Amino acid sequence: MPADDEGSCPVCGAAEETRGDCAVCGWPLTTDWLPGTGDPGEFRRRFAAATRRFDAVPAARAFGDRSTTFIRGGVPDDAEWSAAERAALPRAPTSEETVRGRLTDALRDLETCPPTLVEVDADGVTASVVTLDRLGTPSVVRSAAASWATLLPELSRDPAELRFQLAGGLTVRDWTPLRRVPADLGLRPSGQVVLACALPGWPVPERATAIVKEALACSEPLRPAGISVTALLAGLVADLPLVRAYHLIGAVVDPPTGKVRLEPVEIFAPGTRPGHRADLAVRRPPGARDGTVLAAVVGSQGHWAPVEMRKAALVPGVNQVSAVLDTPGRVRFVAPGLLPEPRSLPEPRSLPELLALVPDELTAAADVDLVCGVELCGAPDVVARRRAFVAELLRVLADERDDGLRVAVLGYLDHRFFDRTPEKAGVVYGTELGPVARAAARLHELPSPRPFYPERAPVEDMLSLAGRYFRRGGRIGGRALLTVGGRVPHPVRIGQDPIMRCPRGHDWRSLLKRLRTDLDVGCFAVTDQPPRRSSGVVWQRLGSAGLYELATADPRQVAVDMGVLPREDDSLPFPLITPKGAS
Amino acid sequence: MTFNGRGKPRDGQSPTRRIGLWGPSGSGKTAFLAALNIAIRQHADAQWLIAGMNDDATRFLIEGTEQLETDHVFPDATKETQRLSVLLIQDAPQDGGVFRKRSPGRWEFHLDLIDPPGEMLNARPSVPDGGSANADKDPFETDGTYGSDPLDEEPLAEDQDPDELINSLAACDGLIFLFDPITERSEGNAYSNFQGTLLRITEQVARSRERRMAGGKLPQYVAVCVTKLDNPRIFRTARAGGLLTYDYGEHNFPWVPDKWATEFFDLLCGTPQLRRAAGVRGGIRASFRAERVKYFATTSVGFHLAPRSLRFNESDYLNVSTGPSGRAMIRGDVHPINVFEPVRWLCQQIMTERG
Repeated sequence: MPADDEGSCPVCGAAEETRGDCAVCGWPLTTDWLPGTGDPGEFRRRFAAATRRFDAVPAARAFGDRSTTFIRGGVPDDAEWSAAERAALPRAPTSEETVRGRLTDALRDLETCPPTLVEVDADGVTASVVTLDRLGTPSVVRSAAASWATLLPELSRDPAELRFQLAGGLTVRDWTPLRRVPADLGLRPSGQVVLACALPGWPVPERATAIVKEALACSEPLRPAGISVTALLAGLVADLPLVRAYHLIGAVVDPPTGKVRLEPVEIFAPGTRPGHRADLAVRRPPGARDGTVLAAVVGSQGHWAPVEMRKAALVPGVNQVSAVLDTPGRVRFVAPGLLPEPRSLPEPRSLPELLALVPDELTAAADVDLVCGVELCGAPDVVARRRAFVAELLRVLADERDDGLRVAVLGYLDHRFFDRTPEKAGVVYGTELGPVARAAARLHELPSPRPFYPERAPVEDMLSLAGRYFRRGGRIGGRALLTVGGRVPHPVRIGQDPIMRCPRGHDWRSLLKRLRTDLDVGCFAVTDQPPRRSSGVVWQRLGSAGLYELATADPRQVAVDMGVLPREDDSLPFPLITPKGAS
Repeated sequence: MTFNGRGKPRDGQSPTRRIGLWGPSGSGKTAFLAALNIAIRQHADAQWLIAGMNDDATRFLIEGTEQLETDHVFPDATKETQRLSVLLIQDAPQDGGVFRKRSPGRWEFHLDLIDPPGEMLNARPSVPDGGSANADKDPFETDGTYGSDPLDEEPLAEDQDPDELINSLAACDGLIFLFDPITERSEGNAYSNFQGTLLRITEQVARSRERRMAGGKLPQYVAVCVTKLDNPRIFRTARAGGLLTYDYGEHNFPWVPDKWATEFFDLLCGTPQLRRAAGVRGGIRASFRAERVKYFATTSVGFHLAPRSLRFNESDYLNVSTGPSGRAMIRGDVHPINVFEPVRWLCQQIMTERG
């Protein structure tokens, strides 16, 4: 591009400071008078060649294309273009490895001496600071920036032309504005500064780099070719090990009291590098119909800050939850096949809101043994309703909790008094305390014969076996007995009415008393219909903790009343964890 | 139900001896009659035989016995008048026996039986449409009235003649009055039944040329049978009164000895729930001569005896309870207590008097 301004070199545009040849491009600015007739054609050819050779170099740097219109004097021939390409190559650019090394060194002591990166590139000069937020998460923050238009107003506003100029297509006549860069960007000669020129060999950026280096007295600038040092720094920062530990918020419920305390479980210790995966076994809390919140936090008790919170639909029982540290400050919960969206959704509530939902204690015991006694004999429709109630109860339990819950189903038939068949096998059938699913399957298998003795049912045999199961279970937490039936138990002795005594000599009163007082069993009952007369007294005792009618009883509400499921207002939003020191 | 002389004697002899079985609805008359066959068979005195003298009687003895012993259910109460003829035979005992010898080696005693429904003798209106009083009863509820025969509430058949049946009772030499404390406790109908029937019998006897009042009393011998001793309420009352001994039969069943039976009846009549039954007691004492009245505590089916057990077990004595259908069923073997004894006592008294 010819320099139009008077007093500048017509080839390179440099200010004419001396007589003779241009100090920048060597074009003879002045010559002695020569005798003879001038040859304008020859001059034009020499001038065109000079400008072409001069412009070919920045064109090679900026575009790698000899056909650009920014080259004066025509398209360079092969020799000229090859020479320009050779001249455009930066001398000894800094390798990426070296850049990484310098940056890594600068990141060693983030907490006391965070580095500042000043990079000169095609956009101008930017300053970026590596900071640690209150979570200890490092990040690269652009602290200041100045465009070339601001720094050197004489440069073109046209991007292509600006690029050509930065590459040397114009010799800047006034570098003075560049000297204000450190001040304009707020850079002071303190702290740790890494200076980089992203366009090594390009005259304008190099000049700016030199000015900043001189102003800040920093070490030798980095001159990587084709690399954004800022981007590289961001990558390195993202790959830094954790400064502070990350925890998962878990809840621990004290079995005897139901008291709840939150206990963070460390999932990523300080020093953990991105990419690390932590596996953790958690249990779904009782209830949790609306999902469970997996919250990765940093901080200490009462001063937690969330790193990541996601709502997950945990399955009942133990869940293997995995968390991956993508970068410091970014945790991703994964568990193959378990938490793909939409089952795992971002938690919209804030951490303080969630913490406020945590009840002081759960009405639902953490560890519960539940025995469901079901009267299997009777009118088919009535028996079907009893069984359906228990089946629905078990379905709800399986859906909303499994951990810490053991269920036994005891179906009882009738004592047989009239066919002289000895009851060798007993009249109670079912399962020992165990998983809900097993109890549900067993319930499905139990028979439903016609009643054999309509006056009474062997509730007392069921109570006896239930007591044995409770004792054998050895559970310290909650115990509940649910009797679902229509008939009351046999008396242990023949009374005033012609009612058959229990042929096995079980005394339902003493069995019930032992269950309630010795084993602390909560006794609940669901009757076919409102109890009548004397049977009402019996059902009141069988359902001393809760008595319901089959037609109106809600399985979930019964489960809540039994302490097997939590009330709506005391559900735990966080998963249950095994406390430290517990096996 | 009456034992009467409608059947024809075998050898032309017709010393008609009549015994009437009398009691309100649900007092167990049908079961008593069916159990009589079993009682005679089981009784230690093997010199007695019982046989039907007509098809009705024979069928009743066969089916009633089978229902009690095999089906473990109570015989259905009669829906219509059953004309039953029963023959009681006793081989002549070595010591002369209780009956006058009519042929060398044995005594024959002819009985014609009629088993009218209890409602017939009941002064109250019958249940309409033949419905059972227990039809709407919830089998899951108990009021202790097991063993009542729902069909006892059936109305009379159209061909039944109440006057004829009263005449039959009035013509009897002896009467068996079944007093069921359980039904009486719930229904309270014994007194009305007894009172109405007694007045009609008295009227008939007063008109009769064959029967004469004796000392201002009716001439019949009366065996008052307090039934359902096996029922817990009755059994516990007897036991609480110290009126039981445990030596009936080879299995040592409990029973109320004859000498305490009157006291037992008085004890029951003294309970508040059986207050109206005191009228029965008064009626008996006012209408019959004391030496012609004897009390028995009976049970047609007896107490439960566990399989492979030889002795009565007081903790498991219940032999009747509600079966799968909601009706009373018998648990095990039938061991009638004091079923044969009232009949035998009446026969003894009648034959002794008539020679």
